[in-house]
Amino acid sequence: MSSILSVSNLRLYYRTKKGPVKAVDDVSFELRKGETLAIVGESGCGKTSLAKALLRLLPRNVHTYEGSIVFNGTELMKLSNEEFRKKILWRKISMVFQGAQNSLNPVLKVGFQVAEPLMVHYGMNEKNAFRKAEEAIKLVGIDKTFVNRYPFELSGGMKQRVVIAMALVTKPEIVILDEPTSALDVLTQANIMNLLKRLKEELKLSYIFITHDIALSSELADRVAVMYAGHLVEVAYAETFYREPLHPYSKKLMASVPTLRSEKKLEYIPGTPPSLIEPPHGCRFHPRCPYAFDKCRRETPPMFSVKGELVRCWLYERERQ
Amino acid sequence: MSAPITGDRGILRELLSYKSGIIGLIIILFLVLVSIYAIITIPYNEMLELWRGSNPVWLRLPKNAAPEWWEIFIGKKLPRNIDLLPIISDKYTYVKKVITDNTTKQIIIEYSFDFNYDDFPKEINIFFNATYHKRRPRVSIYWKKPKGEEIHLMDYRLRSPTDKLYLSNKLTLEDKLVRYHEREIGVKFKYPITVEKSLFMDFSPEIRVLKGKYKIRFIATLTEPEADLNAEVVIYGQVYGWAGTDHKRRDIGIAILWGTPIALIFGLSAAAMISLVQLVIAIISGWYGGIVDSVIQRVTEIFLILPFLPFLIMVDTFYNLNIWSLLLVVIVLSIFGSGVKIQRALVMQIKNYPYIEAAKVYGASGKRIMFLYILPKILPPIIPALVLSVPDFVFLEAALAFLGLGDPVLPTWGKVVSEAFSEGAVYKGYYYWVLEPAGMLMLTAIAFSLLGLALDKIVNPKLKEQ
Repeated sequence: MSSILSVSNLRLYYRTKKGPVKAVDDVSFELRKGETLAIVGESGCGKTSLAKALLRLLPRNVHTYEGSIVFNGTELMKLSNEEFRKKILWRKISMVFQGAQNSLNPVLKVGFQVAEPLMVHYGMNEKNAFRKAEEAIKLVGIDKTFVNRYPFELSGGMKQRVVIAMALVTKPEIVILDEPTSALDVLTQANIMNLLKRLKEELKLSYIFITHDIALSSELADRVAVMYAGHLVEVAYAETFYREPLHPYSKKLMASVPTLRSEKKLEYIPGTPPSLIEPPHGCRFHPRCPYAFDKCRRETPPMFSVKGELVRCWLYERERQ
Repeated sequence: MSAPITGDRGILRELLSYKSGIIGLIIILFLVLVSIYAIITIPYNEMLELWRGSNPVWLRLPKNAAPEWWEIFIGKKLPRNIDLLPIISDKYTYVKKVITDNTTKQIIIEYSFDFNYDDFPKEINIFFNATYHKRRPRVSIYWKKPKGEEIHLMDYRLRSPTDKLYLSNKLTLEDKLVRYHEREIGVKFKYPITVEKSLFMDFSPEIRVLKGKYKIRFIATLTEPEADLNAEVVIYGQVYGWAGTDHKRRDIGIAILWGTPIALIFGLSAAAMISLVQLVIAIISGWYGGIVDSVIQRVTEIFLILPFLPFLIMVDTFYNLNIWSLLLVVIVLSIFGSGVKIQRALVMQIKNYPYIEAAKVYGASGKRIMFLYILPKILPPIIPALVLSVPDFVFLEAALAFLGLGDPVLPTWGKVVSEAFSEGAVYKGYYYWVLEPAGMLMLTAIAFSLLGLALDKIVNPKLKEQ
C-alpha cells in the first residue's frame, strides 16, 4: 500500500507569556491509502493540535510551525496559504469536528450548511450546491426531507451525520475525524462508527481518527498512534497493539479501559500529565513510568523500530531491529 | 405540547399572543393608515401651500378655533363656520337681482341663513369681488334678525375690486349697533358689546343668542354699465374641523395628519439605520480585532462623550438643516454609539463558537462568516431594541422642532407644540392645540414601546411570562 500522507518532524508550538507550548513536537507518521490511523491519548496531549497542524488551522499565537507534510507527493508546507486553502483544504483533506452539536450554524438550514463548502471552495451556485448536498445527506443515511430543517430540529446523532456529510461533500481523500462521537450515547456512537466504516469502504477514504477512547478506536483503526505530551510514543498495527502494546504508557492506557463482565480492577496512571511548556527532561513519560531508569531521565528516546512497529522508549533500545 | 413555530409567520403569531403586541400593532397600523390617508388626500405640494401659504389660503378659517368635538366639554352647541357664497346651496338661500337704469345699475344680493347655535360666532368678514373701470361701487349693507326689523349697518365704497370688509373691526358700527340695541331694549349696557354679539343677540338685557333665520342684504350702486359685484360673507365659527385652527388660522389637522408620516419615517429610518450600521461596525470591530478594533473602540468612546444635543443644535444652527439632512446628522452622530460596544462584546463571544471555527476550517471567508454566521446570531436581540428606540427619535425630532431647529417648511407635531407654546396656548385655554400633537407623539411612543416589549419577550425567552 502506498502512503498518501507522510508527516515527518512536524512541530507546532504556541506562544504564551510563560514560554512556548510544545503542543505537537517532532511528530512523524505515515498514512496509507484506504487506511485508518487512530491517534489516541489523554486530553491535552496535543491530538487536536496535530489535526490543526495538518490542516494548517493555526491560531494567532503560533510560535513554531515546521516539519514536512507530503500529500500524494506534494510538499504541503511549501504551498502558500492561499494555494493550500484552494487546493488542499477540504478538497483533499477535510475534517469532522469535535462536538457536532455546536459546529453547525444555528441559522442555516441543514442543506445549505452542507452545501457551504461547495459554495466556498468550488464557487458553485446555491442550487447546484444544494443538490449535491442532498446527495451527501442521503449518503450519510438521513432522509432527503431533512435538508430544509434547522440544526436544532435534529437529534445529536443526526447532527453528527450532517457534519460527516459536510466533510464528504467535496469528495476528499483524507478525512480527519476529531472525536467524532464524543458527545453521543453508546448506541448512537455505534451507529456513527458503522456509518464511518461503510463510507470508508464505499468512498475509499483514508481516516485520521482522533480519540481519547481506546476501545472505540479499536472499532475503526488499522493502525494506532499513541500520543503523549506532544510526542507520538508508539505507532503500531491495530492487531498487535490491542493485544500487546509496547510502550509503558500504552500498557497503562490499555489497563485503564473498562471491560464488560470481567472483574478487572481499573488501573490509572499516577501523577499528572506533564506541562507542555516545560516538558520533563529526557523521556516525557518518565515521572509517571514504573520502569523508568537513569537514561530515561537524561535523554529523550528516539523512535525505535521494534517488530515492524515504532516505539519511543529506552526499554526497547536493545530489541530494535 | 405544541410544535415549535419557526420563521416570520411564527414570530407574528407569537406576537399576537401578547396583548401588548396586538395593541402596539393596531396603533402602528392606525398610524400607517393615517399617513397613507394624509399623503393621498393632501398631496405634498398642496400640503406645503396649505401650511406655508400666503394669507388668502387661511383667510376663510376662524382664528384659534377649537375642534368641533370640543363642545362635548363645553356642553353647548358652538357655532361652526358659515360661508355664504354666491352659489346655490341647501344650507342658505342666495338671491341676486340686477336692476338696470339708464346710467346706474343696482345689484341686490341677499343671503338668508339659519343660525341655531348656542354661542356667538367669532368674527364676520365680507369679501367683495367686483368688476369696474374707474368708478368704485357703493354698497349699503342691511342686517335682518329673525324677529327684528332690518338694521342698516353701513354704507361702504369699495377700495379695490377684491376688497374685504372686516365688520368685527368697525368701531363706528359697534357704537351704532350698541346704541340701536339700547334704544330697542331700553337698557344701557355697562360694557361694550362686540359687533358679532350685537348682530346675533336677542332683544333682551342679558346677552344671549337669538336663534333663527337671519338675512344679510347688499344693495350696490354701480355707475358703469359693464360693472358687476359679488359679495361673500364668512361668519367665523368658534369651532372648526376635527382639529381646530391655530393663531394663523391654519387647520391644525394638516399638521397632525402630515406629521404622522414624517414622524414615522424619521423615527423608523433613524432607528433602523443606526441599529444596522452599529451592528455592522460592531461585527467588523469584534471580528478583525487588533488595530481595527482599537481604532473603532476609541472612535466610539470619543463619540460617546460628545454631547449629542448641543452638538446637533450647533450643526443645525450653522447649516439650517431640513428634515432629511437632520436625519443624516442624527445618524452620523449616533452610529458610534453604545450599541457598538455591547454588540462587539457579543461578537467576541460568538467568534469562538465551534460553528464559527468550523466555518473557518472549511474555508469560509471573513465576510461570509461575518454576515452569514455572526450577524444572524446577534440580530434577534437587536430588533426589539430597534423598535424601542423609534420613539426616541420621534421625540428627538419634536424636541428639535420645539427648540426651533426643525424642518423649516414641513408641518411636524413638534412644530405645532412649539407654536402653541410660543402663543401661550395653555394660558389662553387652547388646550386642544397642545393636546393633539402631544397625543399623537405619545400614541406613537406607546405603540412602539408595546411592540418592542412584546418582541423582547419573544427573542429573550427568559423574559417570557409563565
